[in-house]
Amino acid sequence: MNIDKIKFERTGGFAGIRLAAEIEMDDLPEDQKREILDLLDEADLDELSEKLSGKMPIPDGFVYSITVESKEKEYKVLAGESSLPDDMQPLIEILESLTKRQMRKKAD
Amino acid sequence: MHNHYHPINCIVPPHMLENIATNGTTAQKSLAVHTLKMSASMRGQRHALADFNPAAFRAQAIGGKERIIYDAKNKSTLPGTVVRNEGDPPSTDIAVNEAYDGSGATYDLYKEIYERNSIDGSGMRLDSTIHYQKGYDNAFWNGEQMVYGDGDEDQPVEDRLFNRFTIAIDVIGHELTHGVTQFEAKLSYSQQPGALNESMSDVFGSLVKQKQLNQTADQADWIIGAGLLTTNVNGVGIRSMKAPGTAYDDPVLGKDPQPGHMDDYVTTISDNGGVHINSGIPNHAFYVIAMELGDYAWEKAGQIWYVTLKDKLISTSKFQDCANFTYQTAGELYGAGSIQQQAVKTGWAEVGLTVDGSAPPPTTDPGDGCLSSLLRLIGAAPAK
Repeated sequence: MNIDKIKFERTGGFAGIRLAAEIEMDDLPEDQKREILDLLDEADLDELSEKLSGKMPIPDGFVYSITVESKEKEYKVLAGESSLPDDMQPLIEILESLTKRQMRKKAD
Repeated sequence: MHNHYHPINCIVPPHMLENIATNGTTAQKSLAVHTLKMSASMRGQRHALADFNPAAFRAQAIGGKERIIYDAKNKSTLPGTVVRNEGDPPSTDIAVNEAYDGSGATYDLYKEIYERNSIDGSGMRLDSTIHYQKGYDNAFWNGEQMVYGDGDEDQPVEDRLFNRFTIAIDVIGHELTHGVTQFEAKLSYSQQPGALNESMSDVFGSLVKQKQLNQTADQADWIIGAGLLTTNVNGVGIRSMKAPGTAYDDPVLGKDPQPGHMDDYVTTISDNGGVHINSGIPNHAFYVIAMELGDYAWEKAGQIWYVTLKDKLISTSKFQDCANFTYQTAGELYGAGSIQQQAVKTGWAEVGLTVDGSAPPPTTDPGDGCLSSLLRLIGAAPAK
């Protein structure tokens, strides 16, 4: 998959504090870029809707919005944290960490 | 039409799906439709949380206060390993003791003041898990138990924004109250009912703290989550019931987005429709009422709110319903035209809502679902 950009947003949670960033893939180190691409492949965005079925929002759970943009296609996933499959956790962790870093950088 | 949905049965809140189905790309639309179909096919087999809750059986206590604290050891598996049972001596781990003492103080408030025996009213065991995941900036109620993260303990000290979530006792009261709401009003976790759900948790979370500190309404700080933000953050806490929108204003985290008046109500698809944002409005109404009445807020104002949560609110209730119901409840508890009832009227007026004491809203759920909502949207079912 040839990905240009990932838009990440985390809202909700007890604190209700919004984290958001647009992550340009070309700005990332090559190994991190590859790690994210691998994790996105594993997440299997085409099938994700089925994986997300059957879960309900939990009080104070995070709400994620992840938009993956490539030249050919755009995927958007909107989901509460309880809905996401466990194997997406590492991807969320990386995106959260990159988002926090970007927000700190902007604040400086 | 939003209030006809049952978002708790949906995978993604239906207002989000509706938005995707309306504005999304073809792929997004098909995802939204598929998701709604899957959700609908599940619904026949699924019951409301409070009607069918294995934890209510598993965690049934013999009658009194029974707490268990578990340690997730930075993993995601719940509940984790037992680290403290009811009656055990304190642990060397401060988070264990905070979860134990905080859930105990919350149990005591509900028992002593509102004569409620635990979350379900029948002595349900209070299960709490600490050290959930790594660097987890959150606490939540998963329908069965309370769960707490350690904040940013995995980050360098100068980058940390959040401390551990057991540090503030009102966070514990907040999470446990989500359990009470699940068994009583069952307020759906989206839009205005969701913001009311959140506000109920803030109100009783704050009352747990005020009771513990033996503070009268004018002595309390009315801050939710004081101590949760590190000194790197410019803020006194997460929310202010006294002055919504003023709890923090920070270069990294931004500004507290809470409104304190209906004129500033925030419409958003994030945060399940702004449940942690618009809760500022009913929060502030409660604050004004408690200040009007003086003394201890958990006594009169808290009683009015508790009875309203237990006996009046339903899953689809909105702010106006809550205003009308609390006014009605105050009349029933303290007399029509009593100072308590007048205070309720004043409190809601302060946030831009005029109580209507004459026409109580219906007390049954419309029983609609996300699939029928979507079918109406795409024209496959008649409009309401």
